[in-house]
Amino acid sequence: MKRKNAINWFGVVFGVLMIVLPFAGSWWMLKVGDNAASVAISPFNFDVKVVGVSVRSVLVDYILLFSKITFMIAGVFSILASLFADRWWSAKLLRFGVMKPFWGILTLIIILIVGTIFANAVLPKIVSGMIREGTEGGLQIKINVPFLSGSSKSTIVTGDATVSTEIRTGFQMAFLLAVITAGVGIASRIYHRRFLEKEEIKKEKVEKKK
Amino acid sequence: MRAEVLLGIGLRLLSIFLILGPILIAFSANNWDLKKTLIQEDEIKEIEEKFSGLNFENLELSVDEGAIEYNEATKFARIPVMIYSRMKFSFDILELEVSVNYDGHSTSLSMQENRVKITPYENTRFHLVGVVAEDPRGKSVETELKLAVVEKLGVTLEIKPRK
Repeated sequence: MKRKNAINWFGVVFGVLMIVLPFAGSWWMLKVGDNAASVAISPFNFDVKVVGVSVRSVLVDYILLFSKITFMIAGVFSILASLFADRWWSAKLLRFGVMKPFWGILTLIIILIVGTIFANAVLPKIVSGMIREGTEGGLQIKINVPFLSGSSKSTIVTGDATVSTEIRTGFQMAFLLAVITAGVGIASRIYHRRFLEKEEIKKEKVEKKK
Repeated sequence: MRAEVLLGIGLRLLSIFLILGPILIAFSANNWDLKKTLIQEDEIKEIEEKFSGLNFENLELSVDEGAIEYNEATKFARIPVMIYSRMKFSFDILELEVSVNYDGHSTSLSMQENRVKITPYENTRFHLVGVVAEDPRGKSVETELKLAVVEKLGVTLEIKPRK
Protein backbone atom coordinates (compact mmCIF):
# COMPACT_ATOMS: atom_id res chain seq x y z
CA MET A 1 0.00 0.00 0.00
CA LYS A 2 1.31 3.42 -0.97
CA ARG A 3 2.21 5.54 2.05
CA LYS A 4 0.24 8.77 2.34
CA ASN A 5 2.35 11.79 3.22
CA ALA A 6 1.41 13.78 6.32
CA ILE A 7 1.34 17.43 5.25
CA ASN A 8 1.68 20.51 7.41
CA TRP A 9 -0.26 22.97 5.26
CA PHE A 10 0.68 25.93 7.44
CA GLY A 11 4.32 25.08 6.74
CA VAL A 12 3.73 24.88 2.98
CA VAL A 13 2.11 28.33 2.96
CA PHE A 14 4.90 29.64 5.19
CA GLY A 15 7.53 28.26 2.82
CA VAL A 16 5.93 29.93 -0.20
CA LEU A 17 5.67 33.24 1.70
CA MET A 18 9.34 32.96 2.72
CA ILE A 19 10.35 32.68 -0.95
CA VAL A 20 8.11 35.61 -1.97
CA LEU A 21 8.96 37.94 0.96
CA PRO A 22 12.50 39.00 -0.15
CA PHE A 23 11.02 40.35 -3.39
CA ALA A 24 8.05 42.16 -1.84
CA GLY A 25 9.90 45.45 -1.28
CA SER A 26 10.87 47.53 1.72
CA TRP A 27 9.13 47.15 5.08
CA TRP A 28 9.58 50.70 6.39
CA MET A 29 10.28 54.03 4.79
CA LEU A 30 11.42 57.50 5.82
CA LYS A 31 11.07 60.50 3.53
CA VAL A 32 12.55 63.94 4.04
CA GLY A 33 10.67 66.71 2.27
CA ASP A 34 9.68 65.95 -1.30
CA ASN A 35 12.28 63.17 -1.81
CA ALA A 36 15.17 65.36 -0.66
CA ALA A 37 16.28 62.22 1.15
CA SER A 38 14.73 58.83 1.73
CA VAL A 39 15.49 55.63 3.58
CA ALA A 40 13.73 52.37 2.71
CA ILE A 41 14.60 49.33 4.79
CA SER A 42 13.82 45.67 5.30
CA PRO A 43 16.06 42.66 6.02
CA PHE A 44 16.57 42.53 2.22
CA ASN A 45 16.76 46.23 1.26
CA PHE A 46 18.61 49.23 2.58
CA ASP A 47 18.01 51.98 0.09
CA VAL A 48 19.31 55.39 1.15
CA LYS A 49 18.94 58.28 -1.27
CA VAL A 50 20.10 61.85 -0.74
CA VAL A 51 19.04 64.38 -3.42
CA GLY A 52 18.47 61.46 -5.77
CA VAL A 53 21.90 59.89 -5.22
CA SER A 54 21.91 56.36 -3.78
CA VAL A 55 24.27 55.85 -0.87
CA ARG A 56 25.49 52.26 -0.90
CA SER A 57 27.74 50.03 1.13
CA VAL A 58 29.32 46.86 -0.23
CA LEU A 59 29.10 45.22 3.19
CA VAL A 60 25.40 46.02 3.59
CA ASP A 61 24.70 44.85 0.01
CA TYR A 62 26.27 41.45 0.71
CA ILE A 63 24.54 41.08 4.08
CA LEU A 64 21.18 41.82 2.42
CA LEU A 65 21.91 39.41 -0.45
CA PHE A 66 22.70 36.64 2.02
CA SER A 67 19.60 37.53 4.02
CA LYS A 68 17.55 36.98 0.85
CA ILE A 69 19.30 33.66 0.23
CA THR A 70 18.71 32.62 3.87
CA PHE A 71 14.99 33.32 3.63
CA MET A 72 14.72 31.45 0.34
CA ILE A 73 16.61 28.44 1.67
CA ALA A 74 14.41 28.51 4.77
CA GLY A 75 11.37 28.64 2.47
CA VAL A 76 12.47 25.58 0.48
CA PHE A 77 13.33 23.71 3.71
CA SER A 78 9.92 24.59 5.17
CA ILE A 79 8.10 23.34 2.08
CA LEU A 80 10.05 20.05 2.12
CA ALA A 81 9.59 19.65 5.87
CA SER A 82 5.88 20.35 5.61
CA LEU A 83 5.26 18.03 2.64
CA PHE A 84 6.97 15.20 4.53
CA ALA A 85 5.88 16.25 8.00
CA ASP A 86 6.21 12.78 9.57
CA ARG A 87 9.83 12.19 8.57
CA TRP A 88 12.57 12.33 11.18
CA TRP A 89 14.33 15.28 9.48
CA SER A 90 11.17 17.32 9.03
CA ALA A 91 11.18 19.16 12.37
CA LYS A 92 14.85 20.10 12.06
CA LEU A 93 14.39 21.54 8.58
CA LEU A 94 11.29 23.47 9.61
CA ARG A 95 13.02 24.91 12.67
CA PHE A 96 15.84 26.29 10.45
CA GLY A 97 13.77 29.25 9.30
CA VAL A 98 10.42 29.18 11.03
CA MET A 99 11.21 31.99 13.47
CA LYS A 100 13.31 34.11 11.09
CA PRO A 101 10.52 36.51 9.99
CA PHE A 102 9.47 36.98 13.63
CA TRP A 103 13.02 37.86 14.68
CA GLY A 104 13.38 40.00 11.55
CA ILE A 105 10.33 42.07 12.50
CA LEU A 106 11.44 42.37 16.13
CA THR A 107 14.98 43.40 15.13
CA LEU A 108 13.67 45.99 12.67
CA ILE A 109 11.38 47.54 15.29
CA ILE A 110 14.20 47.67 17.85
CA ILE A 111 16.54 49.25 15.27
CA LEU A 112 13.88 51.82 14.33
CA ILE A 113 13.19 52.78 17.95
CA VAL A 114 16.89 53.04 18.84
CA GLY A 115 17.60 54.87 15.55
CA THR A 116 14.78 57.35 16.16
CA ILE A 117 15.95 58.08 19.70
CA PHE A 118 19.48 58.57 18.34
CA ALA A 119 18.31 60.88 15.53
CA ASN A 120 16.07 62.97 17.80
CA ALA A 121 18.14 63.20 20.96
CA VAL A 122 21.80 62.44 20.19
CA LEU A 123 22.38 63.45 16.56
CA PRO A 124 21.45 67.16 17.04
CA LYS A 125 23.99 67.45 19.86
CA ILE A 126 26.73 65.79 17.79
CA VAL A 127 26.03 67.95 14.70
CA SER A 128 25.73 71.15 16.77
CA GLY A 129 29.05 70.37 18.42
CA MET A 130 30.68 69.81 15.02
CA ILE A 131 29.29 72.94 13.36
CA ARG A 132 29.09 75.39 16.27
CA GLU A 133 32.68 76.52 15.88
CA GLY A 134 32.72 79.27 13.27
CA THR A 135 28.96 79.69 13.17
CA GLU A 136 27.84 83.15 14.15
CA GLY A 137 24.72 83.41 16.26
CA GLY A 138 24.78 79.78 17.37
CA LEU A 139 23.17 76.69 15.96
CA GLN A 140 19.92 75.04 16.99
CA ILE A 141 18.97 71.70 15.54
CA LYS A 142 15.58 70.21 16.25
CA ILE A 143 15.09 66.87 14.55
CA ASN A 144 11.74 65.16 15.05
CA VAL A 145 11.70 61.77 13.40
CA PRO A 146 8.31 60.21 14.14
CA PHE A 147 8.44 56.95 16.06
CA LEU A 148 7.75 54.11 13.59
CA SER A 149 4.99 55.90 11.68
CA GLY A 150 3.77 59.47 11.23
CA SER A 151 4.98 62.88 10.12
CA SER A 152 6.65 65.80 11.83
CA LYS A 153 8.60 68.96 11.14
CA SER A 154 12.31 69.35 11.73
CA THR A 155 14.28 72.59 11.82
CA ILE A 156 17.90 73.69 11.82
CA VAL A 157 18.54 77.29 12.84
CA THR A 158 21.94 78.87 12.31
CA GLY A 159 22.85 82.54 12.67
CA ASP A 160 20.91 83.89 9.69
CA ALA A 161 19.27 80.84 8.14
CA THR A 162 16.49 78.46 9.09
CA VAL A 163 16.11 75.15 7.31
CA SER A 164 12.82 73.36 7.85
CA THR A 165 11.32 70.27 6.34
CA GLU A 166 8.76 67.58 6.92
CA ILE A 167 9.83 64.06 7.83
CA ARG A 168 7.41 61.22 7.11
CA THR A 169 7.82 57.63 8.23
CA GLY A 170 5.64 54.60 7.79
CA PHE A 171 5.40 50.86 7.34
CA GLN A 172 4.90 49.54 3.83
CA MET A 173 2.62 46.77 2.52
CA ALA A 174 5.54 44.32 2.53
CA PHE A 175 5.67 44.69 6.33
CA LEU A 176 2.12 43.37 6.54
CA LEU A 177 3.20 40.39 4.44
CA ALA A 178 6.13 39.88 6.86
CA VAL A 179 3.76 39.92 9.85
CA ILE A 180 1.48 37.39 8.12
CA THR A 181 4.53 35.23 7.28
CA ALA A 182 5.73 35.38 10.90
CA GLY A 183 2.23 34.44 12.12
CA VAL A 184 1.92 31.52 9.70
CA GLY A 185 5.45 30.44 10.68
CA ILE A 186 4.55 30.29 14.37
CA ALA A 187 1.31 28.45 13.52
CA SER A 188 3.22 25.94 11.39
CA ARG A 189 5.67 25.31 14.23
CA ILE A 190 2.84 24.67 16.69
CA TYR A 191 0.92 22.53 14.17
CA HIS A 192 4.06 20.50 13.43
CA ARG A 193 4.07 19.19 17.02
CA ARG A 194 1.25 16.77 16.21
CA PHE A 195 3.51 15.08 13.62
CA LEU A 196 6.34 14.90 16.15
CA GLU A 197 4.03 13.25 18.67
CA LYS A 198 3.02 10.67 16.03
CA GLU A 199 6.69 10.09 15.21
CA GLU A 200 7.49 9.56 18.90
CA ILE A 201 4.61 7.05 19.28
CA LYS A 202 5.94 5.18 16.23
CA LYS A 203 9.43 5.10 17.72
CA GLU A 204 8.08 3.81 21.04
CA LYS A 205 6.18 1.03 19.21
CA VAL A 206 9.31 0.00 17.30
CA GLU A 207 11.34 -0.06 20.52
CA LYS A 208 8.64 -2.15 22.28
CA LYS A 209 8.64 -4.68 19.40
CA LYS A 210 12.40 -4.99 19.74
CA MET B 1 20.44 8.89 15.25
CA ARG B 2 23.74 9.55 13.47
CA ALA B 3 21.96 11.09 10.48
CA GLU B 4 19.99 13.32 12.84
CA VAL B 5 23.20 14.61 14.44
CA LEU B 6 24.80 15.15 11.02
CA LEU B 7 21.76 17.09 9.81
CA GLY B 8 21.90 19.23 12.97
CA ILE B 9 25.58 19.98 12.41
CA GLY B 10 24.97 20.69 8.70
CA LEU B 11 22.18 23.16 9.41
CA ARG B 12 24.26 24.90 12.06
CA LEU B 13 27.22 25.21 9.67
CA LEU B 14 24.88 26.58 7.00
CA SER B 15 23.62 29.22 9.46
CA ILE B 16 27.19 30.22 10.35
CA PHE B 17 28.12 30.46 6.65
CA LEU B 18 25.06 32.61 5.89
CA ILE B 19 26.00 35.01 8.71
CA LEU B 20 29.79 35.20 8.25
CA GLY B 21 29.85 34.65 4.46
CA PRO B 22 28.68 38.12 3.40
CA ILE B 23 31.07 39.85 5.81
CA LEU B 24 34.08 37.86 4.58
CA ILE B 25 33.13 38.19 0.89
CA ALA B 26 32.54 41.96 1.20
CA PHE B 27 35.89 42.57 2.88
CA SER B 28 37.85 40.26 0.56
CA ALA B 29 36.26 41.93 -2.50
CA ASN B 30 37.64 45.27 -1.24
CA ASN B 31 41.11 44.01 -0.23
CA TRP B 32 40.13 44.14 3.48
CA ASP B 33 39.81 47.94 3.30
CA LEU B 34 37.32 48.92 6.02
CA LYS B 35 36.40 52.32 4.54
CA LYS B 36 35.83 51.00 1.02
CA THR B 37 33.74 48.12 2.35
CA LEU B 38 31.53 50.35 4.45
CA ILE B 39 31.06 53.43 2.24
CA GLN B 40 31.21 54.13 -1.48
CA GLU B 41 33.13 57.42 -1.59
CA ASP B 42 32.08 58.31 -5.16
CA GLU B 43 28.45 58.65 -4.06
CA ILE B 44 29.36 60.85 -1.09
CA LYS B 45 31.37 63.08 -3.46
CA GLU B 46 28.42 63.25 -5.84
CA ILE B 47 26.18 64.48 -2.99
CA GLU B 48 28.79 67.04 -1.90
CA GLU B 49 29.05 68.21 -5.52
CA LYS B 50 25.27 68.72 -5.66
CA PHE B 51 25.36 70.90 -2.55
CA SER B 52 28.39 72.93 -3.58
CA GLY B 53 27.70 76.54 -4.49
CA LEU B 54 24.85 76.78 -1.99
CA ASN B 55 25.57 80.39 -1.17
CA PHE B 56 23.28 83.36 -1.64
CA GLU B 57 26.21 85.44 -2.82
CA ASN B 58 25.81 83.38 -6.00
CA LEU B 59 22.54 85.21 -6.69
CA GLU B 60 22.67 88.51 -8.56
CA LEU B 61 19.74 90.93 -8.52
CA SER B 62 19.42 93.69 -11.11
CA VAL B 63 16.55 96.12 -11.54
CA ASP B 64 15.05 96.64 -15.00
CA GLU B 65 14.83 100.41 -14.40
CA GLY B 66 13.20 101.16 -17.74
CA ALA B 67 10.15 99.04 -16.94
CA ILE B 68 9.28 100.36 -13.46
CA GLU B 69 5.57 101.06 -12.96
CA TYR B 70 4.38 103.68 -10.50
CA ASN B 71 0.93 104.94 -9.53
CA GLU B 72 1.20 108.53 -8.38
CA ALA B 73 -2.21 108.49 -6.64
CA THR B 74 -1.54 105.44 -4.49
CA LYS B 75 2.29 105.68 -4.52
CA PHE B 76 2.30 102.00 -5.39
CA ALA B 77 5.38 100.82 -7.27
CA ARG B 78 5.96 97.66 -9.29
CA ILE B 79 9.65 97.12 -9.93
CA PRO B 80 10.79 94.38 -12.35
CA VAL B 81 13.89 92.58 -11.13
CA MET B 82 16.12 90.09 -12.94
CA ILE B 83 17.75 87.41 -10.86
CA TYR B 84 20.76 85.45 -12.12
CA SER B 85 21.81 82.29 -10.31
CA ARG B 86 25.28 80.77 -10.32
CA MET B 87 24.08 77.90 -8.11
CA LYS B 88 24.33 74.49 -9.74
CA PHE B 89 20.72 73.47 -9.07
CA SER B 90 17.28 74.91 -9.63
CA PHE B 91 15.04 75.98 -6.76
CA ASP B 92 11.89 77.96 -6.06
CA ILE B 93 11.69 81.34 -4.35
CA LEU B 94 8.58 81.43 -2.18
CA GLU B 95 9.06 84.77 -0.50
CA LEU B 96 11.42 87.67 -1.01
CA GLU B 97 11.80 90.92 0.84
CA VAL B 98 14.18 93.42 -0.72
CA SER B 99 15.20 96.87 0.39
CA VAL B 100 15.20 99.22 -2.62
CA ASN B 101 17.35 102.32 -2.36
CA TYR B 102 17.24 105.37 -4.61
CA ASP B 103 17.69 109.10 -4.08
CA GLY B 104 18.48 108.52 -0.43
CA HIS B 105 15.16 106.72 0.11
CA SER B 106 15.02 103.16 1.37
CA THR B 107 11.84 101.08 1.21
CA SER B 108 11.20 97.42 1.82
CA LEU B 109 9.29 95.72 -1.00
CA SER B 110 7.96 92.17 -1.36
CA MET B 111 7.84 89.78 -4.28
CA GLN B 112 4.55 89.94 -6.15
CA GLU B 113 4.64 86.36 -7.47
CA ASN B 114 3.75 83.45 -5.18
CA ARG B 115 6.54 81.24 -6.47
CA VAL B 116 9.40 81.87 -8.87
CA LYS B 117 11.49 79.04 -10.30
CA ILE B 118 15.20 79.85 -10.49
CA THR B 119 17.20 77.92 -13.08
CA PRO B 120 21.03 77.69 -12.93
CA TYR B 121 22.92 80.21 -15.07
CA GLU B 122 19.76 81.84 -16.36
CA ASN B 123 18.04 85.17 -15.81
CA THR B 124 14.58 85.00 -14.22
CA ARG B 125 12.23 87.93 -14.01
CA PHE B 126 9.97 88.73 -11.06
CA HIS B 127 8.43 91.87 -9.56
CA LEU B 128 8.84 93.75 -6.30
CA VAL B 129 5.74 95.62 -5.19
CA GLY B 130 4.79 98.00 -2.42
CA VAL B 131 4.14 101.59 -1.47
CA VAL B 132 7.15 103.89 -1.86
CA ALA B 133 7.83 107.42 -0.69
CA GLU B 134 9.06 108.79 -4.02
CA ASP B 135 8.58 107.96 -7.69
CA PRO B 136 11.39 105.47 -8.54
CA ARG B 137 11.05 105.87 -12.32
CA GLY B 138 14.13 107.17 -14.09
CA LYS B 139 16.29 106.73 -11.03
CA SER B 140 19.17 104.44 -10.27
CA VAL B 141 17.66 101.78 -7.99
CA GLU B 142 19.85 99.60 -5.81
CA THR B 143 18.65 96.45 -4.06
CA GLU B 144 19.57 94.76 -0.83
CA LEU B 145 18.24 91.34 0.17
CA LYS B 146 16.40 91.39 3.52
CA LEU B 147 14.62 88.05 3.56
CA ALA B 148 14.48 85.08 1.22
CA VAL B 149 12.44 81.93 1.59
CA VAL B 150 13.45 79.29 -0.92
CA GLU B 151 12.39 75.70 -1.42
CA LYS B 152 14.07 72.69 -2.96
CA LEU B 153 12.63 69.14 -2.85
CA GLY B 154 10.30 70.02 0.03
CA VAL B 155 13.07 71.55 2.15
CA THR B 156 12.50 75.21 3.00
CA LEU B 157 15.39 77.56 3.65
CA GLU B 158 14.71 80.97 5.18
CA ILE B 159 17.56 83.47 5.09
CA LYS B 160 17.84 86.84 6.76
CA PRO B 161 21.24 88.16 5.74
CA ARG B 162 22.90 90.23 8.42
CA LYS B 163 24.43 93.61 7.60
